[in-house]
Amino acid sequence: MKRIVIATDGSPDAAVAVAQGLELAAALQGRVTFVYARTTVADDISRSRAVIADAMGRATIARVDADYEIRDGSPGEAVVTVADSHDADLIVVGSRGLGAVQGVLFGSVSRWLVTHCDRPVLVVKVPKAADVTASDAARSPVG
Amino acid sequence: MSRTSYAAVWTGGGEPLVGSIVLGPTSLILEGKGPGRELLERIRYDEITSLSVDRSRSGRLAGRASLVLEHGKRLVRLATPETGVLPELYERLSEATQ
Repeated sequence: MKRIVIATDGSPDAAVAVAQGLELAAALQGRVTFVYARTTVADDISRSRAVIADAMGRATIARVDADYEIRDGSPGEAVVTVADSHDADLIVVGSRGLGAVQGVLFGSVSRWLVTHCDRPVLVVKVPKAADVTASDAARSPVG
Repeated sequence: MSRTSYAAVWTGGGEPLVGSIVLGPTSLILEGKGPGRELLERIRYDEITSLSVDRSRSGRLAGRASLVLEHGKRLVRLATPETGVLPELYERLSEATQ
């Protein structure tokens, strides 16, 4: 049984990552663990729960077994910790999250994961809206 | 109707989490909060490879005997604050995993 860890922060890119990850899980008859990292005080509990509830709802619709973990701290480290604890087969992450400014300064979460994680990482890119719809998002497998 | 939800403390190796466990139709559902994290985890009954009760001093969780589940490469240890519930949980999980 394949285990896919999907990082989400409620951003548009993460929404596409959630959709792609669930699609893969359904095709592989795998299961999914969603990870949300609370990075700041402003990143409040109710928001994290709402984002996770939305993702869990999408998993239910996709008929994919899913669970989740919300962790305080660095998104990259949170994802790697959860992926390791579940011995995940794949990590799915959007190419940009809500921390786009942080990404410029410190390197994006997706870049961090590709650099620091030993597991396969699928970075989901969201093409420009004018080109294709989100459901046609290109996928860039790495690792 | 059998009870399906229990208050619980549990750990998969890190800091113990406090929450509840639910005996679902096909899996055990663990939901809890701990320092800096909260999570929900499903453990399918058909993936539980061993089940035991640890009453040793070192095996206690929050001062109580614990139920130890092995699935895949992981060990999950859980305890319930409710007196007398652990044997019931052991029995029901044993049935579910057969």
